[in-house]
Amino acid sequence: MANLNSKNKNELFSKIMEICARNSLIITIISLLFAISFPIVFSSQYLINIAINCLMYSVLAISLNLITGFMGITSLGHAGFMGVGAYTAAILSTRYGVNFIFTSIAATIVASLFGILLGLPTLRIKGRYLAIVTLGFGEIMRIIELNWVSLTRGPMGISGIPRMSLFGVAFSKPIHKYYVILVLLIITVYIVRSLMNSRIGRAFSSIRDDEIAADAMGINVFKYKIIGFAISSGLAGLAGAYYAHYMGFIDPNAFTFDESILILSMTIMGGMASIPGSIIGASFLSILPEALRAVADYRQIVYGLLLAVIMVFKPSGLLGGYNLKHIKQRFNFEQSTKGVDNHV
Amino acid sequence: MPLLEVKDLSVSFGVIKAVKGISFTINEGEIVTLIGANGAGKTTTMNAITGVVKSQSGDIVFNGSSITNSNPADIVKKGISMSPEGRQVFPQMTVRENLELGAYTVKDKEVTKNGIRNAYELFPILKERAFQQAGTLSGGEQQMLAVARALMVNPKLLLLDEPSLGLAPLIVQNIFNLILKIRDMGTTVLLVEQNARMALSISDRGYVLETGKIVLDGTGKELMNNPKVIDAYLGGLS
Repeated sequence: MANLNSKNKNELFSKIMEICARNSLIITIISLLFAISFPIVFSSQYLINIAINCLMYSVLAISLNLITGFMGITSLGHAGFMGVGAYTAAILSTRYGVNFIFTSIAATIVASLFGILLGLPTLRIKGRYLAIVTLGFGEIMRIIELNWVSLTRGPMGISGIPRMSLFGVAFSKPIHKYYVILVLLIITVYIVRSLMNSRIGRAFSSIRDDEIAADAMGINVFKYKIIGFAISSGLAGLAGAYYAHYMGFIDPNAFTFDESILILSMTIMGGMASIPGSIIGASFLSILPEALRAVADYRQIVYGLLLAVIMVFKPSGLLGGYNLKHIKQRFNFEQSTKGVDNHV
Repeated sequence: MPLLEVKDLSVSFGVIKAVKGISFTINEGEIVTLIGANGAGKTTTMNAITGVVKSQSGDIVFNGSSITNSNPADIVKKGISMSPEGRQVFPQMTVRENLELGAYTVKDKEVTKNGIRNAYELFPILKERAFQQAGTLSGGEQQMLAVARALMVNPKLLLLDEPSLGLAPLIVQNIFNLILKIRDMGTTVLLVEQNARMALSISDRGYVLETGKIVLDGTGKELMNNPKVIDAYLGGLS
């Protein structure tokens, strides 16, 4: 009986996914409208700050999903790249007075260089061994940030990071900061989406599915892993730069192993290789601690319990295992009259 | 001049010598089989030809030029493609995406389209399954997909690693008929098989590998009637 129930539930879920896939354009437009109007409708600073968190973590979760979900490389040190970006932006803006636009570009480039540097010697390692190396990387970054006092001011952190500004107009209100991160998220989604629909994206998925077969197809596995790592860490660096300007203060405690695990939880809970999944996962895990303020002392327990329950009932993550593009293609194929050559 | 000439090839993994100086040739238009027990070095030989593993010594000459230890992408471009052991399709990608990946080294979209059309013609079932994830196909269908994918680049030489592995006898028969068809369409085939009887019956020539060395060679018929082969690989019955 229980079995039958779960089967029905799965079918229901598949049905919902099919409807979503067929109406993806409308859903995208509605979510965009919702995101744009959110700070206008809810003017409370508290709510806007939570929304900013959701969007920032969405960027991080999508960037991690690029290597973990789409390429099958588990990284336990993603906060390390975020930290590299944040420190790059903080140092450039406090010492050299560089504008937010340029610090965020610089942070992206520096973080992706770190990604390449880490990738070159280590990407030949696979699976859990690579995960341990990325864990080590995250810790090394944190310890460097903690101890290189002349550059990073160590445990004192860097304060007084200038606000974001564009053409001399400072973005001081939360609502402005909200729109900045919304634009960054849209850029991130656009980059990752078009990447995954390109030749490079197909190479990424083939590496995840079967490295040896990918190699035999003439795909340069190592090159594509480096490309994926560079883009993923670059986007994390971008989120880091935003974080630095948004908070105005950073210290090494913001980029710990816990942070890496939080980002990984968001990615896994939202669903591997799913961009909407990552956004939902990131938003859910950003809102949850705030929503649980009511149960104060038991917050962490409820939080952990909820996470465990979700993973038990939906081990592949909320949207994991549903490739909307495939569902759409299959639907179109079934609709088109069979035997006609129009889909070649 | 043979299409592929392997001279004195040796491959080691650490201290273990998997292939110990083997030489063989494949002529254009032939089906050549490597047979041998587990661990004889068949798959390693295949992987060395496609550049997936590096050889220690020896030379591999394809179509007049040496491809020893070249990068796999360059070898695919030269016209060798492989269907790896154990039906290694990309399970989470659709059948069509799998096929497109087969032609990854070819940038010309027309070639990809033609390849897909030919694949659908040769394996009609793949057309019906075009937008299913490859992991949801049956074993035989996955094998067909792996072969179709390898054919996407119009290879001069097709390497098939254990195409009959884990398939029902009827499907195996189908696969072998297809191999003959592929050869008749002008592709030379190197086959690695444990199903020695079946493989030798369709092969022009064959080589028997034992712990990294070639111990016997001859035409398919000769090997099938060779008492040593019958004893070791055909279950002692002829």
